[in-house]
Amino acid sequence: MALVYIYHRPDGAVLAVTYGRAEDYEEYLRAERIPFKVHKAQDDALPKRGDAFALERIFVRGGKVEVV
Amino acid sequence: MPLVTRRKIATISAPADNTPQRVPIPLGATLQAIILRLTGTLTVATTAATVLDESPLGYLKQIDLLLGGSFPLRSLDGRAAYRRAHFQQGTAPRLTAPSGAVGSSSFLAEVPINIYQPDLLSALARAFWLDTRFLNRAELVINVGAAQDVATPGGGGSVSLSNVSIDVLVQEVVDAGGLLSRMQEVRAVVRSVSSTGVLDLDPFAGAGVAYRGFLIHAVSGNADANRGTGDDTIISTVTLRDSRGRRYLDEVPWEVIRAETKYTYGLESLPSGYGLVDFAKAHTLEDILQTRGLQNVQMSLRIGSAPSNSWVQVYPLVPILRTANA
Repeated sequence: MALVYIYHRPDGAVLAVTYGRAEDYEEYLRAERIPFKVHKAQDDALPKRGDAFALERIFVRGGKVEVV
Repeated sequence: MPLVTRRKIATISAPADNTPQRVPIPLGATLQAIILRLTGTLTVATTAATVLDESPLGYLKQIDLLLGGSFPLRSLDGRAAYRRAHFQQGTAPRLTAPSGAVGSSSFLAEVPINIYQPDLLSALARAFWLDTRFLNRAELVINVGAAQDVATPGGGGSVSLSNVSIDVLVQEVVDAGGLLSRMQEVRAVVRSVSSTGVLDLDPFAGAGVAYRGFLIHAVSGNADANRGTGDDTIISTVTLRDSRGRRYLDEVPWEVIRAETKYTYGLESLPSGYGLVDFAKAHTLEDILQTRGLQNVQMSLRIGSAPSNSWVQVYPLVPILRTANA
């Protein structure tokens, strides 16, 4: 179990799930004017496919992680 | 302007690494553009990776639009195809790079392959529609890369791709067409640059070939030009002369060419490494370079610096014009 940072769009769609804060990525998103928010969660609560997080199944809405 | 319809003709799902993907283009309609929409997930394990310049466009290693089985109307890497659309439309199409941090991140790129020429004035843009009724075959061949074309793994780490998908959409013109002009855009030169001084490129064909311009892309930092980072220190000046000795450009500083590209196309900013030697600055075709009676056209680049793994790529833009009485 480890803490992950979930970078998501305001509508809840997830852009990235990273172990630790990804400052370079935050800088990139700001530079490209891609709106995003950050949510912290435990990785074992998130669906995976092989080694990858199943990003399309994860949403962050109202400050809560939803898995579909 | 006639009505233009848009429809998806194919989805390439989870393509095998480093393999060509062939998409037949339906015949019978008049094509205005083909749009590729690349989506996927990059997973970085163990140590942080370095996301490549213009990522994930490098994953689209080569995009060929072949007419009649052999004529390449487009033969471009994904990065150049994206920038052609960026420059001509005055704004960058959608691009979201992945993160290099350990974990998973999504990426997205939309690459419009404009068959018409949207920057040209008035009806000229439409003079480059492709009426496929005159073809017996049209095929899009996309050579996809691998995860290393999106990000370079850190020491002891690894990168992998999942959920990769490429939607292929076409824009078709309703009830309009004919035997029209064509703009051929091909990556003609990929030259490794190893030292400073003057680099003479192999001559471009003369004897009647017309040139609207030459897109130049200089990169460094990777043994594969597709994975290099745009670098404005490599080229210091550009010279273009014909076989009779006339110089169309004479030691023109790279920064001047870049500035011209920026204001000719009304861009907010110009990505590093790109410059367009453009003859049709007024967005008409009255001032293109005609080579009737000339043996060839030669480009020489003065190399100001040659960092490790430097590359110069040149893409001639060749209009094949069809006049009203042709």
